Amino acid sequence: MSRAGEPPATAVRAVQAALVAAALVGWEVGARRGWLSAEFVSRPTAVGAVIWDWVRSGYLWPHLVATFEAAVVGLGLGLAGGAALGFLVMFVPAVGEVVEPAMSTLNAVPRIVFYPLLMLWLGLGMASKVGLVATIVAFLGYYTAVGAVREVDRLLLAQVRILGASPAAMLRHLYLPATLAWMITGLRTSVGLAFIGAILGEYMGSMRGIGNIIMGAQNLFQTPQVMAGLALTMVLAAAVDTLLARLETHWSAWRQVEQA
Amino acid sequence: MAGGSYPVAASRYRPAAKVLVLPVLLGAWEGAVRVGVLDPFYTSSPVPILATIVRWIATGYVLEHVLATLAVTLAGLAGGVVIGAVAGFALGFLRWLERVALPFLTAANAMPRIILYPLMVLWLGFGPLSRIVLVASLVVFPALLTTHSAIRQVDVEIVRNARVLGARRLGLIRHVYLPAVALWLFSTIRVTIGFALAGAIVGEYVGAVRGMGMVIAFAQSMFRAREVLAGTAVLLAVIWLIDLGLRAAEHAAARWRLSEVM
Amino acid sequence: MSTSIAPVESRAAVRPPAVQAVGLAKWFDGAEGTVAAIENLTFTVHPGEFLCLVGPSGCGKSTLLNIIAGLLPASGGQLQIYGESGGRVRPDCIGYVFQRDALLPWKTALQNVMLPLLLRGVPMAQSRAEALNWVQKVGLAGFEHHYPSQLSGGMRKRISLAMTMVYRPSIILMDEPFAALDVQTRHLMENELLALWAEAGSTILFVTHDLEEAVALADRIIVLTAAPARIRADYQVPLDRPRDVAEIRTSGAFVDIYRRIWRDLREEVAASRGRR
Repeated sequence: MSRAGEPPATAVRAVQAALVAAALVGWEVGARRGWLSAEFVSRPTAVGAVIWDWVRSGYLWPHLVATFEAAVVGLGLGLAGGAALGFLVMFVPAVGEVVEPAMSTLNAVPRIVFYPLLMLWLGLGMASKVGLVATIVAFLGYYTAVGAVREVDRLLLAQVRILGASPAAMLRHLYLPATLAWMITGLRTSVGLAFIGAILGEYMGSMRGIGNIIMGAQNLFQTPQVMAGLALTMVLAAAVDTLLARLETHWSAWRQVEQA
Repeated sequence: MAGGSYPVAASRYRPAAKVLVLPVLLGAWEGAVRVGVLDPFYTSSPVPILATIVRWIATGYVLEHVLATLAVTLAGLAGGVVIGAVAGFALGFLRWLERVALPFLTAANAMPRIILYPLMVLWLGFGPLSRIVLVASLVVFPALLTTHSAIRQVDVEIVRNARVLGARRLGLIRHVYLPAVALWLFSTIRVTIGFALAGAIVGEYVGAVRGMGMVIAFAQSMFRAREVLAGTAVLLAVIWLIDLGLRAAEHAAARWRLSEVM
Repeated sequence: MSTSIAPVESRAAVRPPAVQAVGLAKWFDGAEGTVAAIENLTFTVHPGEFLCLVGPSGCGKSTLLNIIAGLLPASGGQLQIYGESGGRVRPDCIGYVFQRDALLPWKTALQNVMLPLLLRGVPMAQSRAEALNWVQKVGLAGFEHHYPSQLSGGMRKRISLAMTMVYRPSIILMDEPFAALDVQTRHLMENELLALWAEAGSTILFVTHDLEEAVALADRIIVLTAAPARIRADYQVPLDRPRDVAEIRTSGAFVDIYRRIWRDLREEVAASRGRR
């Protein structure tokens, strides 16, 4: 639906490309000429050089692995733990009465508030980082499980009961797969949050990881390194997100008929 | 279509049970520490924590730091919302700007901006300004995109009608677009206040002189479990009160919202 | 009004009836007060019988099936399944084919058909073999590993049938199972159903609002009144078997029976429309 006065697509692309190029060139030239303080903003080439150096020297990989490890382990624990609690709340009414309001209250709190507690209890290393990620993601897991159980197709429920399923069998054949399906749909969000959680954890503790690199550089006032670390993080986050988006479209294959 | 029925039998004990849960848990905690099941070095116990909180309130310690955190949060929130709204209006009315800038802005919104804090510190130091800017950066993009979306979604019929009634651009903005945007912005604030608080607190953990985040992080670095728990409890209470306030405001707003603008 | 046939009565003397309802009633508490869906329903279903329940839309047919299945408790009256009351779902007795297919979307066709067997503790290998057998019986060999979303409506219906019949329930409830299919697929499914039923010998309670379908399939037709449902009439359908659903519609006997029953049904349909 084009309206009068809308610029053509190619012109728009050209302007966007030009802006990006101008920004990068302006940045580089400005820093070299002294119009911009190189101490504060560095130069694209300097940042690029840092990244290249990190990759070449192998400095980057252990830290990358540490961050990913924390994110993945925390993600798994958090989703599983949250979902387990969700099932408990939905199937044992007594537990639900107590836990649901508590979760609802805690949900309004940014999970980062719990991090010092986690550091107190789990130390400054990987454990507290994983704990933070798990805490962040657990709420997602919880609400996914609760939602999946609540929204389960009444028809499927009736059919499975007629077929003679015990409550355990219903969990295994009906509720668990339904929850997994919901979780996979929300995976992009959970993974993104897990990643951020790992990095924030690294900011505040003294442990390995990309966040650690950034923090260390900040303490030493090494602007190119700070920017390099941040740039890498953003690129990685975007890459993972794109990958998951692709997987999501493949995954939707068997989801179609449920709405029919 | 019949299905299973979820157990919804109303329990006589339900209201009583809910109220009792917290005292029972606290009692169990205290008991566990006394008996030796829990190590007070790591968990402290309710009574000393409460004592600490009372002392903090009495000396004004809590007030000073809670206000510091809230000030940073609100300043950043206000700044971000205002800038975002103004930019959103610009985007809503200037088609060419919208076409060029929107992809960048959407991408920026998708970035986890909270991790930019070390860069803020590099540029603005450890004072409140770096945290305010961080919070603003968290809020500005959602505010911008929401405003832009609200403007684009205003029913063309309403605009046409207003024009017929004699409204020019400024009148349109005042009577049609601003109310539409205000509605959306309010719900955006409810959503983003969580991020805003998180931004302020993260900043305080990493390096600050004032703020509840600093209080808690400092206590943690000194392994003082009692103060970590006391500080966390205070922070939780403050956040809870803010949430209650927002909900009340939302109820009030819903009541005098007579008709859907869009 | 039923014209009983002697063989049916002597069968009843040997075994308890499959379903015996006496004064069955069901009411719901709704926004506008209590609404009766079923009122004072008394009837008997004999083992091996193919019984169709017809009535105007919304008259409570589905509710009746759900009560028999044990998914809903009756509000009043008595219900006995093979001589036992209790109102709980008896997994071995009852199968249910719903109007919308209730296949688990995350399982393949084969896995869906295997499910009732696995739930009964049948070992994996045997379940698989049995299920495969039934998938072939309903004509879907080669589609075992397809997910429901990859199958057409008719195919999903056939898998639903297989899933229900694989554990050989004595009573099969069917709630307008073919309503959503196009006419040709429907005829196909109806013939297949008759063939499977002839082999299995189960009792079938088939709900439909399509009188033609009912006369083509059934041994016996009960006409229900508009809501709240009561029994208006109970007809035997003494047409020969095996029947071809498409062919039989043109036979004189079919048309006679159809006319007779339609007079009753028509009034109920008008009555239910008048009430809305």
